[in-house]
Amino acid sequence: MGKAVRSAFRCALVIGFLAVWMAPRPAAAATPRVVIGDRTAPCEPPPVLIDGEVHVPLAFRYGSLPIKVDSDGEVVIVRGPGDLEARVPLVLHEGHAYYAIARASAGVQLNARWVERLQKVFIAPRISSVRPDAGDRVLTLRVTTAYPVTYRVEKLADPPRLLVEVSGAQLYTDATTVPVARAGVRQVRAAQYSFDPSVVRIVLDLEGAARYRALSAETTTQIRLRIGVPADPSDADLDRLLEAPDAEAVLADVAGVGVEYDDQGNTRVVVRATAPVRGSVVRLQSPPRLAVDIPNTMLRAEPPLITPGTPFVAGVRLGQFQDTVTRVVVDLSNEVEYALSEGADPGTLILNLRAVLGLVPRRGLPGLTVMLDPGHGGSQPGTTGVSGRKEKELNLDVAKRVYALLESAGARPEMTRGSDDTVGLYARPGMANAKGVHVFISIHANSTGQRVGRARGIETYYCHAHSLPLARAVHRQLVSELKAPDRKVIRRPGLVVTRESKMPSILVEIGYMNHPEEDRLLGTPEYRQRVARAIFNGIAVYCGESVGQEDLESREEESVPNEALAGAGASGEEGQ
Amino acid sequence: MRRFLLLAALMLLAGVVAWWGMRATQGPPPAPSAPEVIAPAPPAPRQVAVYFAREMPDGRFVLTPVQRPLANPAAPATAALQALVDGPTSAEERDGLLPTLPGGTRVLGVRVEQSEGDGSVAIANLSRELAENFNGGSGWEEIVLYSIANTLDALAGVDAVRLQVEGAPVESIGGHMAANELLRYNDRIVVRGQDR
Repeated sequence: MGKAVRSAFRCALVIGFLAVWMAPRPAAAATPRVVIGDRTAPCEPPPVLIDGEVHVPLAFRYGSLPIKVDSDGEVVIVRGPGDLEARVPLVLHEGHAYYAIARASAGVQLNARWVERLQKVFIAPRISSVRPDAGDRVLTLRVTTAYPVTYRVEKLADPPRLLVEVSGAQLYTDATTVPVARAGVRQVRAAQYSFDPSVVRIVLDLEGAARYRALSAETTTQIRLRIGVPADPSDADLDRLLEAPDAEAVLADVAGVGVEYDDQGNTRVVVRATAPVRGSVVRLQSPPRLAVDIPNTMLRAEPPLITPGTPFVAGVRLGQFQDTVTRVVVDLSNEVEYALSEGADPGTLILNLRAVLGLVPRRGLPGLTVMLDPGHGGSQPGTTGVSGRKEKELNLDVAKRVYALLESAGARPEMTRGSDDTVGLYARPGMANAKGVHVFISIHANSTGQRVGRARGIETYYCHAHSLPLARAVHRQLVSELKAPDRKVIRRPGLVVTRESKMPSILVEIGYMNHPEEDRLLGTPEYRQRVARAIFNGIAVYCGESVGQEDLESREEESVPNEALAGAGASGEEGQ
Repeated sequence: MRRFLLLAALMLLAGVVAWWGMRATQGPPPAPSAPEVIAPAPPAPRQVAVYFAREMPDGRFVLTPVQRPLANPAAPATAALQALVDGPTSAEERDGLLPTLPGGTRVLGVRVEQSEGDGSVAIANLSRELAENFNGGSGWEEIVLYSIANTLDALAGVDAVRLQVEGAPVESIGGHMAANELLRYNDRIVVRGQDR
């Protein structure tokens, strides 16, 4: 009997060990996967190991963190919360572009951990510190990350412990133990959970069953817990200490950030907090950006998605800049003037952005730099009129007339071409940007593509919202001066010259060359002079007053003659 | 003795549990030959939408799609582009539709490539007449450009369009709009038949 049992036992032992030994090992060819937080994320092509480092394809994104490649195509730049930035080399591998995810993550307060056993790379907010501050009776545990994380607390018995489990997080190290030996806490151990590497477990080894109070919300960038071990079942003293007011309590959570813009050239970044807050703005360069610091707040907002074409704003990043300071970084696409104010709703901060010229109204034409861009030229004739006239000649003629009017008014005009030259489409805004002119005006004539068409009238195009006041001013002058059909001011994002110019820039279509009557008019020097005068008047109206709409309209109604306008800038209106 | 038996049974159980546990965390090892994901082939389209121009009562031009039967379902992109070159039927012209591509423009080829980050990109190669015979303003250029882009972008399996003239990218076909960038479906200038 004894022998049989012993051999059965041995047999079971062997089978048990065999079962463990025979457990399948990761196949060498298994496809590596990416886990973001605690969820498997799509990654195509899958990550690869290059020189022992996990690399992910360039298309891979962590949430909404912006990724771009520098102009040389060699460095991948990842922007993180607050104002963090990571730069890692772009690596080409089997026809795809990759970057080292662990290094890129580390630069933006994330952590990427490669778990070979699972063939997975875990990417999650980095827990940068686990700090126990122990008093005689109460220990305060602080766990800090740069992005909001979610946690739960559980009491464990035999032996008495308190478990703080943070899901979708990565610890700065594999495991760490901090000895305490105060307030009933022996030590604090923190480790990446080996059975689920998307979880960080923080265990407090205790002298007895704990009482605790969570000071932070369930989702936060700083977990704070007060922990104590009662000396006897009714330890009112401890309860009083645990329930004492929270001196570190922040006033508010930053709960939402949005970007709004109107067609008047105003863009607003709106920060909504759960209580009234104050903020301060710092302007930073390379890349140009504004950082709004909001003290006494914790971040729980997600960064807003920025639609392409949003004036001034290329992106918005959020982060816990310091323990209780939220930082909102606004990446700028254009030069701006800004002002931070408190909104009408309590707890709202509004960062107003406007074009530099739009905010600082110029007084009159003297000194105004204008880049005039006669469309087409050289080998690119543009459209051909009913009469056979080429658009490039018409554009140049009108631009020269505007040039003369501007010059005589004391403005400083420039031309992208002064004769029948071929000029690249991108070179035109390039010249305006390089010279830093105040306004850019591209002069074109229209056609519907057929030899003869019915369409006639004036169209004015712009791209960025800060160009709209200029577009309206010039368009109104053209329509009223020429008594031509108003075919409206239209936003056309694909137009290269207005899209690529950094200053207020427009493209005017001064009439249809495939409309017989308009083509005939455009053929007369008198009509072309009126076109030029209207464009000139529009520029004068635009820069002569503040760009508020009422101002524009009242000024237009006055129908000030050019000569008077030109003089006004130099003398009378200067002091207004 | 019973304690030994129990212990032995427990060890066996532990072994099996550990084995299952490892299996569960690792998942089944992928079969070396079979691909992990087999994308189902999209159903072959029977019709393609082709975008022609239309002048609205207020004088602006828009694009309106019309359906064309697809003779060769294996090459929808080429067929759609060729239908664009062929222009509207006389019935459609009476209904106000206008051809968009300049006279003489020919289709030199269309291919669809997978691009890093951009998805499936249809590369449309058209003859030099597209630029040489273009005779419009900026508004008409937008119509021409997006009649090509929308016609191809509307096809299943095309995410964006890249334009070539005689096999090479061009800065612009008419001197206003960028033609050397990825073109995506432009809904802003589309008016469908029933919307009028």
